[in-house]
Amino acid sequence: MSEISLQIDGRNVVAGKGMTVLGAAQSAGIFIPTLCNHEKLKPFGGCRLCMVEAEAGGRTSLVSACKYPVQQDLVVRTRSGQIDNIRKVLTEQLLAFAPDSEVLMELAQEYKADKNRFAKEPSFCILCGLCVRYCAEVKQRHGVGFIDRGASREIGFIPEIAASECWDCKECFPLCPTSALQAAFVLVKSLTPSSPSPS
Amino acid sequence: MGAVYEFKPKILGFLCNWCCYAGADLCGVSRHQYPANLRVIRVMCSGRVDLEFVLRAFANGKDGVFVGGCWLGECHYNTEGNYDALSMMHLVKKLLECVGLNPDRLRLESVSASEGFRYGEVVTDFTNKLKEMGPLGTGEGIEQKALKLKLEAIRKLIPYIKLVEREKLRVRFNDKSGYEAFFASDELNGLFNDMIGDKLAISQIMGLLQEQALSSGEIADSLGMNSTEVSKHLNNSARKRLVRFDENQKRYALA
Repeated sequence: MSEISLQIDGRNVVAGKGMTVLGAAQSAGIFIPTLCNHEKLKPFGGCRLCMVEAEAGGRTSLVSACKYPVQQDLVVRTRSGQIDNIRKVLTEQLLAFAPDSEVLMELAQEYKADKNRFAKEPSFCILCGLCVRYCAEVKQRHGVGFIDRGASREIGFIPEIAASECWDCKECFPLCPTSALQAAFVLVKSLTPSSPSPS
Repeated sequence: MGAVYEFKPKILGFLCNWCCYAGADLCGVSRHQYPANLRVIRVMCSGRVDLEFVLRAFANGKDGVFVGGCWLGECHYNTEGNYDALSMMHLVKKLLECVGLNPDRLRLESVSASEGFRYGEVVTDFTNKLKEMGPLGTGEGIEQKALKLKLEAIRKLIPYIKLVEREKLRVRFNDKSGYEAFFASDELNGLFNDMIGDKLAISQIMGLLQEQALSSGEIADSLGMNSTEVSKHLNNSARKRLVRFDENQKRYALA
């Protein structure tokens, strides 16, 4: 049997085997917020905004919908006090990085997040990884990558690949929820030696 | 009588069409005398003056840049460009300070069309201050070659700086003291150093390495930076594949 039926927000949804909760919800037209998910890319689980309550076998747990596979008779709730609170704090943390990002401002309005709750961070990249994964998985050029890990993780263009590949492609640019990607690109472009600026 | 060399500062002025330019006109029509060191470019609004304009003026050998706009709240456009000019001025001052140039070489003043006399006074005062500061670079004890490198390093980063400004530094206050407090705050200085200061140092190092491979000590000497800072930036840039360490020469070179 390849069809699995589950319940999302009280609605019965039929999903295929191997689908994620987020995929099932999207196919049924149920909205779950996410920043790091993209239809062409593998699930990443980076932003955690798609956190939902999943109830199976009498147990309820908080799972990220973009990574969690559908199960028979799973009961999913996409909104609750606890979930809203989690999304509110996550949004506040992301707003410390990119206070002017439109998608984040929409989320802040929905979950009543305060953008000044956390101290401002110097970077405005929220590390959703869309650019890095798009370049690796779809374009297979690996022109932009993660540098370092943990708190000092950042994105960066690889100078020699960026110089030869990026100018004609730039398909990752519209994916970025802030303008950090654009900044990383102009930075690497201005740091690599080229013609001097006009006098 | 021997000819005594007197330093005459070269100043470029960007004057707003509606206030400061009219003020300068009134000053001239009223026959008020002031030093003739300032060359004027008329702009429709002081908000039109870009970071690049100011830096290009310095790169082309001007000793000072003057920006004259309307008083706050009296801009002739709905966009209130003189507020933008104010935050641009603070940003450029920070950039100049970052590379060791005197930030007071840029001056922004509000002069209304009726203040002809005041325009003359402001220009006289600015010219005198610049005379005390001395020529650009020499006054700060920076060699001409290093000066060129430093200004080029900032100018290269302008597209990046503008994006950072848009995301993190765009503020609007009602008065000048609000801007002063914001740009002097510890929070902003921390952010500024992380976002722009470090990149500016790397930009200078890259400019220096373009000529020849150098050791971290030599880089620190020619840029007047601390050698630990230089090593940190070199490590960082090596990881980003901007520079590489040449084992044979024991020098850093461009990747």
